[in-house]
Amino acid sequence: METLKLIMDTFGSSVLVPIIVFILSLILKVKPKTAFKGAVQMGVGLVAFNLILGALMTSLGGQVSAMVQNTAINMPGIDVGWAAGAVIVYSNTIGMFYLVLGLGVNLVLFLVKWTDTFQPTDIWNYYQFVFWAAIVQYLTGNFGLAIACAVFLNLVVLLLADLVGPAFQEHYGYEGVTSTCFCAINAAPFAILMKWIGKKIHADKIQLDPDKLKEKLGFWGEPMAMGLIIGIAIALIANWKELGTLATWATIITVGLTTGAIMALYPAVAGFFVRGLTPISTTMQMRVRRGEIKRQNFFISIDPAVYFGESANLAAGLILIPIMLGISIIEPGNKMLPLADLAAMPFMVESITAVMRGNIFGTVVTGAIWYTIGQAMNSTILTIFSQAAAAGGYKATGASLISSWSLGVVPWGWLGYKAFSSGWLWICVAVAVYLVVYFLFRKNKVKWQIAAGCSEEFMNEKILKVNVTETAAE
Amino acid sequence: MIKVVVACGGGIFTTSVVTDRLEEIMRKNKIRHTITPHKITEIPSITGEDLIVVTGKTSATNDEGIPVMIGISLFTGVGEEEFTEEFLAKVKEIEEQKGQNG
Repeated sequence: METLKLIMDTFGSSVLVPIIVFILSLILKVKPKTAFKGAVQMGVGLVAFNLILGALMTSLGGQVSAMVQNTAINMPGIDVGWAAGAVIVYSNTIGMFYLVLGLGVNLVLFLVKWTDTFQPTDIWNYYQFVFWAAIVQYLTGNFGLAIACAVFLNLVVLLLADLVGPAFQEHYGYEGVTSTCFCAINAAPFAILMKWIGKKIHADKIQLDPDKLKEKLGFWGEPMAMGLIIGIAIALIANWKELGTLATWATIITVGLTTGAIMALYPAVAGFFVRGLTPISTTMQMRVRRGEIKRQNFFISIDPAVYFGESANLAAGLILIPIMLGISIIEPGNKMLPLADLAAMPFMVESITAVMRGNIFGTVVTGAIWYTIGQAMNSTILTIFSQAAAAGGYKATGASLISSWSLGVVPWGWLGYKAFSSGWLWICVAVAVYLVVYFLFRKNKVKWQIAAGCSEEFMNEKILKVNVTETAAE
Repeated sequence: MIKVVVACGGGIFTTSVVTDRLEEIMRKNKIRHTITPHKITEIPSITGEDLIVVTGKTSATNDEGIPVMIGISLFTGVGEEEFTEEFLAKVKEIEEQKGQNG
């Protein structure tokens, strides 16, 4: 154990993560050359992330720190985005460990038919819920408890994935798929409730035209422009007492440009990082498609980027960007301004769009309420996640704190972390609630999946009939 | 030389997979190329490129009329061969057009 810790401390995550991923790839029968190339690119991505986050911290971090100290605005949280969140999670021991354990857990749960969802194809998105487990670890110092929390949240994610699968297939038009990306599917149960309320008060009649909205709101989807504006705004507020000097204005504009530059560079850097995990995902996908898994009627989990661009979803997400930004400013007690994750808003509403069957108005209202609740929860975990980030080598400057908005505003994740860091009683309560909901879902699966937005016709033709013909063929 | 753009929601995960596959296809067919990542929301405003491949379904079109192809099959593996044929045909068409103009 001592030697292991020494090795980990000496080499650091940018060496270790790629090595673990390389070994894992080989075990899963990825071609050695592909696996090696992927691992090297992943290492390069990690180092590049260090550089880019360092730049963000020195420019924007200092300003946010100054803003908190010089004004009454208490928003120390810097939203470094989901990609950086992923890097931080995988740079922590628990993140590395769960890549291996999670894959095993997923395979076992699928083989014993606990779930209909095949998750190993979405290995990249483990960080979405392991994020919360990392917080448990830093709060309790108990690695076993953190792992238990990760497994528990993984079960919750799979339940959500089973629930929304048919609706995703119908609305987005891809057969046999679902999503296990926590931020993309977490709002589904709330959306079902909101849809029911909407019907009662006849709000479901309000229709908006997606294409017109997209044209008008296209600007909000451009990360570079968003970074520029938010960077300038924060620097302006931070330096409002010294606006008379030329040097202050130079600082303000530089901070704006730096933030814009970082937003623009993010995808390229993150693109390197994920290349370590893409071979595992594609190899698993190929093996499933080749029919190596003999099971009727299952959902393959694929990355939520494929659902992103659907007209209604994109329009609803883009409308929500300025709305959530506005709410985050006026919401009492909120400690983080969304920044890098603003452009990820269409991901956050994917399940709502599917449940609402493309009703944009319903999707926007539901998303705004759900993530306002999420923001309040997110404000309580910033300090502790910043510690996890620092342990992974990403330190915030001064009074500023770092986290990812889209990872932190997921209420189920917060509840899971709360339960697992509040003693055995609450853990038992959480597990009991999960089991009750799980067995109710299994008993009324079709009914629940229809409530989640799948039409009866689609259910009979595509989801259930597939089953009938396949059984007949055997 | 053919300039291809790969676009997805976040410009990250699916883009990486599809970019790798396209590179493989074009190298096999000895097509000189560049591949640039973009976001779906940027599709209308992309300029100076020859072909856009999107990793998910979208109704977005380019303002300059750069053709947009749906490349989801390269990600999921379903219908990959059909897409590859279609893609190569499109590339050939674009190269011929370029030849005429240049």
